[in-house]
Amino acid sequence: MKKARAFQKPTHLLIAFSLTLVWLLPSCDHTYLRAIDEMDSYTYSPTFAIPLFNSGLSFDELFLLGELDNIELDEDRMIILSYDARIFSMTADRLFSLPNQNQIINISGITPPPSGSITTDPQLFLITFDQNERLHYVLFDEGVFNLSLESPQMEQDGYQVEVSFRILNSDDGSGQQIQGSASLGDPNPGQTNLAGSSISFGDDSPNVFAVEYTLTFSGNGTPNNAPYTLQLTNSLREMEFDYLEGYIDQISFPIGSADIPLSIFNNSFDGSIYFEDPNIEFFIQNTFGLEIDLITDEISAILANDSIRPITGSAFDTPWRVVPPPDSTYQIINRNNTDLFDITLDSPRRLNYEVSGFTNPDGLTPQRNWVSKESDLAIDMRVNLPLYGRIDYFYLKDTIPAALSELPDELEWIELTAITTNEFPFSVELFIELIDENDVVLDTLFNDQPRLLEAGITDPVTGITTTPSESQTQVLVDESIIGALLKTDKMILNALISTHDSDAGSVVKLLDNYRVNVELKARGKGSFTIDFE
Amino acid sequence: MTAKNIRILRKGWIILLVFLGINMASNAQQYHTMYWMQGIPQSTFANPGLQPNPNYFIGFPGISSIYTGVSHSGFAPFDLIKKSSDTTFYIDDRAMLAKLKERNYLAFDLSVDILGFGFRAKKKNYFTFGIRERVTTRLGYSKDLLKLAIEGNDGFASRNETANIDILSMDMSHYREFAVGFSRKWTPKITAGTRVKILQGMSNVQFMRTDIGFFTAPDNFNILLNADLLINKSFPFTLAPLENVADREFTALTQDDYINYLINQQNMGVAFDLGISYNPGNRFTLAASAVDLGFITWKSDVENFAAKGELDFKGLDFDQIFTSEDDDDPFEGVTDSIIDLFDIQETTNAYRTAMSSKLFVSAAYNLTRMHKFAVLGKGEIYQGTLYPSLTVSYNFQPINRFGSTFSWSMIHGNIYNFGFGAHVNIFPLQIYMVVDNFFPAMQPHTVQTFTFHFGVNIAAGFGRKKDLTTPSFRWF
Repeated sequence: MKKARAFQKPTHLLIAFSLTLVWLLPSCDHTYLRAIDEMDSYTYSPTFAIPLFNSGLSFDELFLLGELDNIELDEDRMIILSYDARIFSMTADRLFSLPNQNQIINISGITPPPSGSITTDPQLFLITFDQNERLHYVLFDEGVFNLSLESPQMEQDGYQVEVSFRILNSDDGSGQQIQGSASLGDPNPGQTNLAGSSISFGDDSPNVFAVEYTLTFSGNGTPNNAPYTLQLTNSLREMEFDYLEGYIDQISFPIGSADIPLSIFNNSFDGSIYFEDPNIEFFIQNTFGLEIDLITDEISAILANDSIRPITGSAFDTPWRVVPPPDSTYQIINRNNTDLFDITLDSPRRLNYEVSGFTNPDGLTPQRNWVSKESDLAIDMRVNLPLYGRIDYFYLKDTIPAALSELPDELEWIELTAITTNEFPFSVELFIELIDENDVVLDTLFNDQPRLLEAGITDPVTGITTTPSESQTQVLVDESIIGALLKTDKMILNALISTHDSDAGSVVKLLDNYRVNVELKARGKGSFTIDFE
Repeated sequence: MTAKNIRILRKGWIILLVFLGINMASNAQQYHTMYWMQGIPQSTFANPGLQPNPNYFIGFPGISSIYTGVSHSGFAPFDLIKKSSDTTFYIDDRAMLAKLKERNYLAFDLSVDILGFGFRAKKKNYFTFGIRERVTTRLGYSKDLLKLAIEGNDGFASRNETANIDILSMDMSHYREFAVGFSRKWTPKITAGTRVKILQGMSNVQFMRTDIGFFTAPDNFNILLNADLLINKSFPFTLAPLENVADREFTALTQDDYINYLINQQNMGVAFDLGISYNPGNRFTLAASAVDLGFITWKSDVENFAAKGELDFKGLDFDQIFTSEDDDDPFEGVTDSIIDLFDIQETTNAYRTAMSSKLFVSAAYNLTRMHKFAVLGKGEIYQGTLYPSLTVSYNFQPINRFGSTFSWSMIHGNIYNFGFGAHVNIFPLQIYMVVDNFFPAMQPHTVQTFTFHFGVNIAAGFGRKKDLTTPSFRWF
């Protein structure tokens, strides 16, 4: 209570509070306010973790085959890479044509009656060819039969003559014989259109048809110089057939040569893929009514170094006989009849062929040839690479442009982690070289990393994956690598591929339903400076 | 946008800002220093059970009580700005994060008394009447929100934690309070009172539900974002549909619009303040009070915006890369999913907002009639979280016509809160000013809370008090 009374004196308390103020006043500190004004920047450094990708990849997506290749499946859904190409197509007009024909017939000993007409005996018209073609029947798609007359004496003696003709064993398309006429003294020949008309030649007299002429006289001529001779000039022009029968002789024609790219090997750098059953199929569609032999002068594989390896084997010992319709012709070359298997080990980039054709290889036979204007010979080739085999060591290398200068330079580091679950029975090791514009290697990503993909485990008997394999790859992209990325002009992707248990010689099958699931996640630290000025 | 439209838009924003500015008052009023300053009639705002010393008072309209306050529960400037030397400073965002609580808020408050008066009746009773314009603004945020923004989500992933953004909120209210208060000295030792307040709401924005979780799986970094949002608003602008609100041309407000806004009687509410003091007959006085126990029901110009959904992002599908054209954005699918997640449902249902209630418990010791020491504990509840504070004060009142208080408070864990208040009566004219924290004037970097309360009353009728709870006799 004594103390309490002491505090009743205000001076004590006032002194106490004054001292408090004295203590507080020196503590004035406005430096922080000035600091806010003077602060230049603030660096913001978050670390984020995000999932980039989580996706299943099919074979097509994994190898970016896209539109280049067809994928076929067998009954087990095994993938067959197919490369299709039409290597030859020939239409009828390129194989056989009807040449123009001329024939002059002189009718002599003509003593014209005052009026009336004279009919001649049938005159033979022979169609000639360079070779041994034999024509038994022709249906014209186009063509003209021309007839012109010449007899100067008769004209001088004042006779007017008109000559009509008809082709025996012919049909103008309406059931009538082909016929026409011409007049003496007419500078233009008489023309008869043959389109739609047909002529049947005798079985024993191919290439020959008969024409009957009728001469009709008129006018007031006097037979001062009788008997007269009348010259009939006949010609067949611009003939195109719609259909013909006969024998077109033995014609040799080139099928040509071309390259067929095999894109799966495009980026192969080293190593081999053992395809158990590579094969090339030929689908030959012949709508000519005759047999044709295909003679393979050469089918070869072009390797990465542009060297050529001819494909040889019993498949090429004899020409391939192409039969007439309705049958079609199919040929296959594989490891049984060629050395194709060995050649695929060299990862050929493309195939090249040189083939020629030869009609009526057995010469003249009782069986007539026939050709229509729609007839053609088409040869399609398909290279099949069934993905059934083994890869001991296959090195793919590809260069891709990569201008990464716009990569945010605020990144301090990125840690990429890929977790894969792989059903494909092959493993993949990957490393990426960063190349600048002067082709200098700046840095390498994924170097000394475990396999990006671990091969799925396969059944040794069927070669089919029974257990998918999981693997995890982690790479730290630090400041130095980011610096390299900023200068990168292109990247070289290097991939080493091998199939499961290839050391033991196991073969595997790639099925269409295999997937590799990739989870790609990233941690990254940024350093963003906010400038206050 | 035409110049006219810009003017119209600007007017709209001005009224909104006025609304926000006025709002800097009310619910978060602090009263740490004023609680025991019974020479000031407005001290009853904190405890209607403590009767003021003047037997009657009349507040000057518009200036009898002007209060403004800012409070941030999260961190003070010096938690963010650090010294590396006497002249070199840097921003230490990690230190700031370490200072944050799990839930934080930033409050701006303002209140202005339009009318106020009170008087003592028959010695034991005290009546008060008042009309106050009150505005409150709260921005709530979680520690995880800033942590996510500053540190990134990697830490959450490694700790297998969900970043909870569930108290991200913005609550603003502008309302008018019609209050009638009554207190009575029920026994020689006990005084208790209440204040009944009819509330007239004018505008409000309420983040009623903001449950947002952001989870990053530690093994594969898959991101799970779930959201359950409900935001209500009641003010005279139509926001729906939200997708084109930014391009909307708002119509110009007329004078009638302003008047209708101020006299709007559709959003009514009620609130109570309760208080009690107990003096056992010695030098101690105990007091307790609860204020702002109530609610407002908002009915005019109401719009509700609700969204609920979940997004599980596991990474892009390679198909999105392989099949997209050069111009396509492979992330379009992700952004579409986020937009779909926030497929906002718009309704116009009335809703209710609770007042942000405060609890006060205090003990005062009267050393003499002039000198009083007090301890005050305060708790404020916001979004289900109690925010406590502690104040120690010394009240010096040598005469009835002058009184002063010095205080120290620990608010939001910040100990740099030194308050001061004083009132002077020049005949019946009373002028008072109270600040809960003047320390920012000396060390502004320490500030987390600052209030300023000023007013002018006509207050008279001192001198009959003999009890120790109201020392008001003499200089010495």
